[in-house]
Amino acid sequence: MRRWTSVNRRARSAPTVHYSLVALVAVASLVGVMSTASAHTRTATATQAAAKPTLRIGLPYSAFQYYKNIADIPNSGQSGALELSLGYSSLFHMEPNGTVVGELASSGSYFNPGTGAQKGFEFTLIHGVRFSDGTPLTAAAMVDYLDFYAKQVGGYQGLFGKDPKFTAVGKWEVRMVLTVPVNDMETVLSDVGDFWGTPASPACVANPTLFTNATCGTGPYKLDTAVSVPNSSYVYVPNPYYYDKAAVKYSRVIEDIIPEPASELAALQAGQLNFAYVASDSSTVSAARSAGLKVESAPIGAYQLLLNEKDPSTSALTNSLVREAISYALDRPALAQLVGPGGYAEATDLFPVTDISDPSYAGHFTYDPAKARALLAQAGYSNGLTLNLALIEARTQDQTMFNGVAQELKAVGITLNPINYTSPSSIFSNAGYLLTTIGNTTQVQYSSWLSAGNPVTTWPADSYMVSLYNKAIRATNPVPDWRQMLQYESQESYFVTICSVSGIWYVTKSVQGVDVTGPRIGAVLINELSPS
Amino acid sequence: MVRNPVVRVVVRRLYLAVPLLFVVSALSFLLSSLAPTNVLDVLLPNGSPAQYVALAHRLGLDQPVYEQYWHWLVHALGGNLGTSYTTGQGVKALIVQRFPVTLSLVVPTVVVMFLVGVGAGVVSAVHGGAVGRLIDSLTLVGFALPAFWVGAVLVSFFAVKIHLLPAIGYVSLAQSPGDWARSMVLPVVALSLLPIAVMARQTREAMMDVLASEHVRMAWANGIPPRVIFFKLALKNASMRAVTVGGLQVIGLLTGTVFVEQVFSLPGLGSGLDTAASTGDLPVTQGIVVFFTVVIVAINLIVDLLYAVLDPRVRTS
Repeated sequence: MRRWTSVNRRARSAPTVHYSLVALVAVASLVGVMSTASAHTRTATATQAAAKPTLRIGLPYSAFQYYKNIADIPNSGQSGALELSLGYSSLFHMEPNGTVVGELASSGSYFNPGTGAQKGFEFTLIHGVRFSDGTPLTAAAMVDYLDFYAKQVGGYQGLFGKDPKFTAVGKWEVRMVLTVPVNDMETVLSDVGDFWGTPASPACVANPTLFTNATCGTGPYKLDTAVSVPNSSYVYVPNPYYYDKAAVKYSRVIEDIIPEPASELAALQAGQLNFAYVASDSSTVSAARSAGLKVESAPIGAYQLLLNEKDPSTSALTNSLVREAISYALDRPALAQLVGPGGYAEATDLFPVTDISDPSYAGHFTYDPAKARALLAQAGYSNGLTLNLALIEARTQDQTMFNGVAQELKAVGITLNPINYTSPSSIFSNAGYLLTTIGNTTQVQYSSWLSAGNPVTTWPADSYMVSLYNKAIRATNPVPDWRQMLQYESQESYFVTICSVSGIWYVTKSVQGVDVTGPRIGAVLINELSPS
Repeated sequence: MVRNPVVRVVVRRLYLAVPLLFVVSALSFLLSSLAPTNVLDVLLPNGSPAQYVALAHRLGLDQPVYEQYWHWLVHALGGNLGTSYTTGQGVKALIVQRFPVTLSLVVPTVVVMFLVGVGAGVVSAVHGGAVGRLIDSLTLVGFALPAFWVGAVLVSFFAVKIHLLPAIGYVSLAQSPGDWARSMVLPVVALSLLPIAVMARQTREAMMDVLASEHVRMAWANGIPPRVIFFKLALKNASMRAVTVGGLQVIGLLTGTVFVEQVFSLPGLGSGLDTAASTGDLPVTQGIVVFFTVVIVAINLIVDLLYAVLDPRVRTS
């Protein structure tokens, strides 16, 4: 042993010098690289100081998956105001306060086509607008786009009725003749609407596969496909043909897809992002506030139970007393905390985040299990009853919500029988469900959401409800009628809304204009953003 | 009949790779099909039943799984790995675009793993004593710390606190070598910690075994200089185990890239695979899994060739 020790000692000196040298060289190289990189960055920053800055936005994949391109919008039925506002401009623009003003259209008004009020609308395009491929936006190009959009099979295509007609009148005027009335057309055709008013170039309309890898609109930026990595990083550069160059405030806009909210927060703190959206994940909100970031949130949807009267296996839900009992049996604040503390708030309104919601509904079904039991007894179910509840097994929050709802309904004598489905499609294809939880996206365009063609609408059997809907859809100012309809719906408990779901944004001081409150409900538009 | 044993090993490896690729691709396809995530829900979150049926038909998802796999296999054999369901991007193009990022992560990690891991193992074995115990303790720490946690801690200090390195993102080597290096430092450190610990521990054990062997004792007795004994006799013999373990660690790194690329938002194959798996994007999942399998076959081949270089018995057996 002694000999080995002495050998080790003898051998120590030479290698030690080598290790030290290697370590020294490695550290020096690293420091050199860092210094070079930092110097390079500083030089680049100094050069760019005079030029426009880059805007970097963090988004979770869950938010981005719907916004790949406008061709998907008709199919997915999802809106992505910020992403679309980069590459696409709209006929009208909704200001943060809800006022709708002309953008690509200088004016718009209803006319009577002879088939009824609010079925004819005409608008005039402004001059000098070009798509990102350089072709001009004319009435003919707009009509081509409207015809293309109408032929898609998505959530918004029923809004104008079957076979709406679009006609170019001269070079700049377009006339729309609908087969159903629409009373808020300028909003529908706006940048927070249903994308009817967001034209794409004739080349893309003629060949929709082009939408896959390019932006085809008249917006201030266009996608730089050469440096973008789908599902990871999307780089936008200014559209050289944009009609209002003064509105382009950034040399580049980069959208980084960052699935982890903690990574988004770190990137914001490191100065790599200007602002970020973390969907409804509130796990990092406290840390973001502590880091001095502005935390913005706006309700973006709601958790609801659909009490489906049409299920053939039971008639219990046709009894309004049973439906009311379910509503009284739910402790909404507790359930909201259960699925997502911080990002969720109790709600009883079908559209808890829109201008037609009424705060007075909130107290309509205060948690009262004793009253729920009494109502069930009154309905003839004093011994309780069993209901099926369809839920999507892959959604963890659905399972959590189910467990909470099941526990509270069990306390009043209602046993829930969960039926697991792998997807909404399998639920739709099986009419045998009674009750389901959904993560419903609330739309500004509630009129389209409430249309009879919506797959989750379960109440058309109620003729009074239908009459209220038809009255509202034809009204010049529909808000009072919508409220009346929703109040009736709420009282009847067709939808039992449990809680609203909030979207959360973290904003650094480097950017202004991220305002998600107000009637636009979470819409952030690129031209409203500017460097601080 | 191939007489050269090295060539024979290469041919045998390549021959075995064919059924391996087939089995892996079939298993991957089956498991992806059984996953609860339905790509139709991703593409049509609020779609009508008719839309679901139409899209399922367009994507071929209304066919039995074995028929879907057969179609995929036939096209793959023809060099067509398909198109992403969610982005419309060709899978081959996706791999070409994302592989350099993963390579940028794995290659420096492998270099660091061998340099630091083998170096620490050698130092620990040669010096023993306090230095050896310190290195042993550090390797234990390396075993205990999960990469994602290490990544988060590194980011919070180097990116958030002192703003020295970026928290997320990737800059290509061609675009700016300096920024590329900066963007890779934290991910490489996070990814290499465990492999370094494994390499150090294995190298130390191997070195200790060799140093205790008869021929090394004879070398000491014959007055051969320590440097020759340590680096020519002991390390060369110990390197067989280091190469074996290193090969396995490199394969393990491919799994590690999935986590590290997510934490640091690197647009590589690992994050691409994670996204594809979570959205039910079967063509992308298949393409990346098969590509990773090919890489693993290549790594095993390289390890076999290194055996031949390091051990004359392999060349002649």
